[in-house]
Amino acid sequence: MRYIRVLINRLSLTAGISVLAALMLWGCKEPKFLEQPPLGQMTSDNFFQNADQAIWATNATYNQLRNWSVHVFAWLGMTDIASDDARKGSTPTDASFLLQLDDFSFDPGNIAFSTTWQGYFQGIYRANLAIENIPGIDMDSQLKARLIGENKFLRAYFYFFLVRAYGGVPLITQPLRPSEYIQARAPADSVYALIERDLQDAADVLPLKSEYASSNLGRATRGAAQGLLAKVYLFEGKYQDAYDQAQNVMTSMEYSLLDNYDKIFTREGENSSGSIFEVQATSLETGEGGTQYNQVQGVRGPTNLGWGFNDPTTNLETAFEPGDPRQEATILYVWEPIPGGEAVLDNTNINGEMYNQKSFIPRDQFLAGFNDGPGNIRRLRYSDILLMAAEAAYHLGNTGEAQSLVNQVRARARNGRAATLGITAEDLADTLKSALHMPNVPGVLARRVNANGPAAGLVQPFRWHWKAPPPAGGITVLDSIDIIQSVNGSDVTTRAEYLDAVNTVGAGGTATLDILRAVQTVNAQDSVVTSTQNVQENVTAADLLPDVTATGQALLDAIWHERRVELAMEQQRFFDLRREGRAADLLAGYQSPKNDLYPIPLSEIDLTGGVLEQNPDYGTGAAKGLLRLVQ
Amino acid sequence: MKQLRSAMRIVGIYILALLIAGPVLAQGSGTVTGTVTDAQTGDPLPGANVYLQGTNAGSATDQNGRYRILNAPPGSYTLICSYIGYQQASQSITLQSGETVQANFALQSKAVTGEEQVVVVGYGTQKKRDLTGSVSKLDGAGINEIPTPRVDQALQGKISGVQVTPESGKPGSQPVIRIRGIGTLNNASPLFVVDGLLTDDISFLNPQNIESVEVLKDASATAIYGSRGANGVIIITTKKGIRNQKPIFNFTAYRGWNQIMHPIDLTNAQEYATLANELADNEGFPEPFDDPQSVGTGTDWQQVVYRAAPTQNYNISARGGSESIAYDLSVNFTKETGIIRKSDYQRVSARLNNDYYLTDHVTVGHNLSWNYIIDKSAPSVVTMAYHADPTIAPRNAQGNFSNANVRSSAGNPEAAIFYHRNDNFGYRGVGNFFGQVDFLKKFMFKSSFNVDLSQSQTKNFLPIYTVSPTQQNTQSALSVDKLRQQNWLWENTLRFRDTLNVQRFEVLAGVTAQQYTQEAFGGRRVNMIGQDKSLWYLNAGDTEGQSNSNSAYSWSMLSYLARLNYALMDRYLLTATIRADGSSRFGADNRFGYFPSFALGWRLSEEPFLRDNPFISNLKLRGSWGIMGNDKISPYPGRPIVTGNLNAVFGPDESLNYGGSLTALANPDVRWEEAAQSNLGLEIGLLNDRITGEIDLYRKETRDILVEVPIPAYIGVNSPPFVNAASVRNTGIDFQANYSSRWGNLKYNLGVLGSTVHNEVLNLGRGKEEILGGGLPNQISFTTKTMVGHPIGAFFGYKTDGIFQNQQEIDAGPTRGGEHPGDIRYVDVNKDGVITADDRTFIGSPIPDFTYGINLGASFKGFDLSASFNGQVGNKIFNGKRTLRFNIENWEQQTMNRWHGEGTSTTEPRVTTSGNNWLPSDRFLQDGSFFKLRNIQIGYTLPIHFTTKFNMTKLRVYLNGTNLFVNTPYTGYTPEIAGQSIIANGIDLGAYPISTTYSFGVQATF
Repeated sequence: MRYIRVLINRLSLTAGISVLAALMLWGCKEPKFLEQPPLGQMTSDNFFQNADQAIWATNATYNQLRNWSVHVFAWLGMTDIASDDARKGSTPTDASFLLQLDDFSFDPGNIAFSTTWQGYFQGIYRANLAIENIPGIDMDSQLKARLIGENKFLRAYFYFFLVRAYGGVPLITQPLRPSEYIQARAPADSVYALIERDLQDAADVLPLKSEYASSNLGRATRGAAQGLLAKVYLFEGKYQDAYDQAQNVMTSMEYSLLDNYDKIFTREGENSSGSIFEVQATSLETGEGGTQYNQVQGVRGPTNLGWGFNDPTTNLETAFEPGDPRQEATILYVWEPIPGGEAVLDNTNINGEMYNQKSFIPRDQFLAGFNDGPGNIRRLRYSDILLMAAEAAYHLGNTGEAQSLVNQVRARARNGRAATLGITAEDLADTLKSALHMPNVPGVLARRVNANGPAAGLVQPFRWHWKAPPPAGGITVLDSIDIIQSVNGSDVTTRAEYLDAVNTVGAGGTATLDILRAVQTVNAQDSVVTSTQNVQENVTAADLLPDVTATGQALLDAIWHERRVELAMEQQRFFDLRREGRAADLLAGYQSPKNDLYPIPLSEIDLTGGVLEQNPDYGTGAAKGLLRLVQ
Repeated sequence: MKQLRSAMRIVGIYILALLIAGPVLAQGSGTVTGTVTDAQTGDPLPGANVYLQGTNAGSATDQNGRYRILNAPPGSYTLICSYIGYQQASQSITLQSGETVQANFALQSKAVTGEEQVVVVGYGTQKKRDLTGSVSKLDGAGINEIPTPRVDQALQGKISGVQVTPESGKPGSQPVIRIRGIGTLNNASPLFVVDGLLTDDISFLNPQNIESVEVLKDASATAIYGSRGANGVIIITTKKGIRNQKPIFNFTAYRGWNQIMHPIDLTNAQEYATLANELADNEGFPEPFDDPQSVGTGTDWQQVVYRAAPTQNYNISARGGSESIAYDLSVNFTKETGIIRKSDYQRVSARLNNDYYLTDHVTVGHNLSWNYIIDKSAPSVVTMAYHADPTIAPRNAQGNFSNANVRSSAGNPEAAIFYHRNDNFGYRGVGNFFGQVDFLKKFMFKSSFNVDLSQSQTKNFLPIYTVSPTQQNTQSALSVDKLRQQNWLWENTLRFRDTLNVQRFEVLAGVTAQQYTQEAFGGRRVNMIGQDKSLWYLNAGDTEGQSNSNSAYSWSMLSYLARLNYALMDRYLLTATIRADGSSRFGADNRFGYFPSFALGWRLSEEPFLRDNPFISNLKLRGSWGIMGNDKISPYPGRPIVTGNLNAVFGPDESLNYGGSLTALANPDVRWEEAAQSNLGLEIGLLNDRITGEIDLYRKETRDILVEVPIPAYIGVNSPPFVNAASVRNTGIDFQANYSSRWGNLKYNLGVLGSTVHNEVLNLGRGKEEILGGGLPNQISFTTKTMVGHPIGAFFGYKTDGIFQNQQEIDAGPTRGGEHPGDIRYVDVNKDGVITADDRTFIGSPIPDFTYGINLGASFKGFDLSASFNGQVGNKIFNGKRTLRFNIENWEQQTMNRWHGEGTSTTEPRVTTSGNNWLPSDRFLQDGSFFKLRNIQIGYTLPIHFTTKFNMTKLRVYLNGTNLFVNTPYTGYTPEIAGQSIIANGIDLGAYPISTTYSFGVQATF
């Protein structure tokens, strides 16, 4: 027994020490026990290993295009709202930081700047990750080159916004290590150099639109790279290069102008023949495919529960030449019928309501909620290429070619018609007001045209909404609707028939319009009475969008005008005005040179301790951060 | 009763038979008899165990203390007598065949003095007198004084330096525990060690199984837990069997009821209507009530929502052992219903703790517990009942739920309860298996394997209903969520103990490995085919619109630890510990952390100049320093994880193309937070330890606290990574003192304890000046600000300075602009003549200056009384629920003191819904000090001569009251407001109220 105990004791000493020793060795030699790979998640250890992951990383860069900070709220403020095309919209006090962009009262703390700054640099980070890591993947070399090319295109796209908005910015071409976190601004020239290089690289390797499999529709193409490069060169004043790149796009025979301008901005018109680059979006029941681009510009109120921001201005409205059909396709008016049989309802909290029709999506097309808008965001169109080529040609002295290019765009806008009655909203307003003996009060809204005809027997209504305080006592006219029933005796039942009838009259001819006028009044007893009457109007027809024949500065002005109306509410105008050197002349509150660049976000200057320098005239705002950096 | 006792004996014998291998054959002819008495009183001791060592021959004493061992084989024996609470005694006897030997025992009561007390420390035990660290102990009896299903709830007011605050009064809810202040901006909860298992969740423990709870507070005690010790450690030891003990059966039961402790004094319907009309006048809309007096007193929604809720608990256990096996078996059922309908907590638990003494040197054993928990969550009606319109009855004349949203946005609480559908259950098995070998006299090797497996399921069913346009649901939905957890821990330790003349030392070394995995699985479907619980399965819903999720994480740790305890002449004590922790949470470069501690102790009372002092029986001075870590951060902070679902849309059919990339930045250098703590303690015992006391001064500085330090946005990541940047300091004093004495038959004791905490943020990391927290649902911005030089989560807002009585006062300013007579005047803190956001300032701290507890006990003959009180001083509560109002919500009674004309009030502004008067200010800040009668119990133990007639050794009945009263200036349900959020604490947004519990219980021992 004693012998057994001794044995057990010996054994247990040996066992105890060996187990402890074994565990210690195991601990030292098997650090794998302490490697707990994340479960159900990919990490840097197993990412960028194969072609699928290269595609995923590239898709992630595209994904950023749909981000709130890139193409939605603040960005609309810095492009459209800051321009003379649009005003803030929505209710007067909503999102006041956008109002500061409209009247140039912003300071570096305005969240629009920090929002877009962050959003675009996040896109650059994703592109950099892909550009740095895809080359090391063992995969099909053609696909590899294409994916890198797509990322370079997108990186250039992101930088192009930043350099136009802020001037020189930190030039980051690979993910930064912690020791590199503090960066100074690169000169704008260096940023432009990178953009040019990236776009040239992309143009070299990217397939033409037609060379892509259809399932890849929406990816960056060679045409997109060349077209964007043309724009970059135009902004740099490199007119020959801009012209050459525009020519590359035109001679590729990949693109053409779509006949109907107003179809471009419907969902059917997405990726149509004139489309060169669009941010692709869709609405799925599960969400995740849309943007808020449609929602923030949507009609405020029950019509489609939009937020009603970025409203077209009357300045834009009147910029359209008489009868230009693009006005109708650009501006959505109150009471204008929309697909689905509804009309845009008047929202009494908003004065002078008009909406961006190019971003409008009917309510029933949002499948997963209104913050998940399905509309593509058109970023580069063929008509833009033609107009850039025209502008470059003008600067290169090719007047004839410049005229011909701009006239291609105008011809498409006419869409086969040549004459117009010249009735713009204001013209008709005066006619109607004098006919009705209405007082000429300010605040009368503009005309809207129903393209499809709302109800049986009613055609082509011109609808007026009069918002004036009712005079004390007496009769108040609430609304009147003019319905044009015939032109020179021929009945018109659709918008197309009306335009065709006007076209038949020919420029210089006179047309007699038979108008059915419905008037709603409130009598002294406060009851609403509707009456109708027949009215005849004689109007002289004029040329519709006649060809540009001007030369010299007048030609340049015509090209710029064409850019404005062709690309209105497409977030081009503000940077165009800066490029043209006209911003200070045309934008109220704009001070040059101060506002020729937006301020660098204040938080960025603070966080770099002032290494990042502010743009001129915006103050320094760096003191606090500098102290902290030294600590 | 006799049958019951027999039945229990049979059960006990059956279990014994199961456990004991090979019964010993008795072939005897000798008899041993005798009596067992208490050496002090001479009273007979029934139920004492007497047995012949090395055999299975033994017996227990009867009600008269007599025992008789029959059929013992002849021979020489050591006769052992043992009894719980008494020191074991033995006699040598020689037994001849046919002879009867008489052997009486007078047992000495095992009233252990403080310093002989054995204290459980990390990976071992120590005598209290040898301790150099700050460790507080609470034994099982202390835990069970308060009838609660949770062990942690029972700690309130019992241990100095430990603040236990209920986060919710819902049965079974986990309280917030802070040991020595808040030392981090992240998770500040302590580590629990249950029979060696390191865990964060002790909901599976039945308080009646607890032998002791030790709280390790200073670095000397906690550093052995290394990277998990910084928030303090609570060691819980469950009861074990007793060797050579006939089975002792224990039956305890209590029943009682919970009821709301302190309803809030709200305005009744008439008052409400008066205020609503006044509000309408002030805000410029039509008065809602033609005649406020006509609405009567209306509905007290608190009476509708809260009920008296029964609670019950039954526990049966068998404890004992043979020479080779000791066992403790128990089964417990507890059911506590909540004071809000549809909330309750039920738990069935079973425990089997066995030790097998295989040889003199080899012991193996296990502590197994299994439990099943049904935990029904409460409908969220607390704030709803507080705000609901008192002029509306719960149901209308047709018996349907009334629309309570006519004026208020709160809704109908009765309907909210009715439509609440929730089902939650889980089971959990926790097991500890160990083997222990003593060898070469001085060595002990122990290997212990712990495993903790649990699974739980939650179902939420949302029925279709319409109470009002804003209180309705049009689509039924069911979500089912399952959670599985798996945790194992293997510990191997080797101990060497030796004595060399006047030196004693003990060395401990060990290796431990632990892995934890958690997996969640959930699904949701809509348009369920019916509401019945039998249809609460996903298959009963539409596949269209369904969603599912499945996620998991795991972590592992590998640790090496060592400890040296050294004592010279029993006077000079030294403890040194070190632990190296390797954690999967941290980057490869920081995988291992090292956590040392040193402590010295000096037992002055052993010095010659004090040894014979009649007054001072114990005096010890001790000091410690050490570093602990806090690793309670996300499992993968150091590794860049691919952000998925960054999808892109391509193709003519606009399909979603999967996208993903490494968009989140990780910090590969991330490491544990480190707390350096120094502690200076004094222990004192006077008059033969009738008075004992302990006081500790500490200073704990946590460095490298993980915060998100902002980085420039051009770096391009969505959010900054966590970096180790902030630091916080806690300093304070903990003390406790006890006095016990007797006066004739009256025994009594008094214990007091208290602690102070001073918390200060030292640094928040480069680029970070402040952390804002405590945003309220009505969007009146934040209410707390964590800033260098101030306590964590300090309240931040405007200071008020009375009420503007008239336009002249407003014109005199300073104002914000737009004030009317009756509005609050704010203090122009920066003296710039106007009130702006810059005038906000620190207005108080949610951290109390002083927390305390008082514990009293007394017994007289069969009667006993215990009472405990606890309280705190100096903290503030932001009464957030007063601020949440969008419409005409009900008010607290104090609103009746509102300004409604010049001179009518200088404290309460005129009635408005928003604007000037609702900014975060000291108007909503109230003193959170309180003094509470935590528990009182009066018991009576029936005389032994009476109970023995029923074959019981003890029968005690008692009446108990918990949370009977609280004295506080705070007007909410309770001044005990806590949240797990560190930076937004002490904000009362309407938590489930704490209840008062009355109960009656019985304890019987057979």
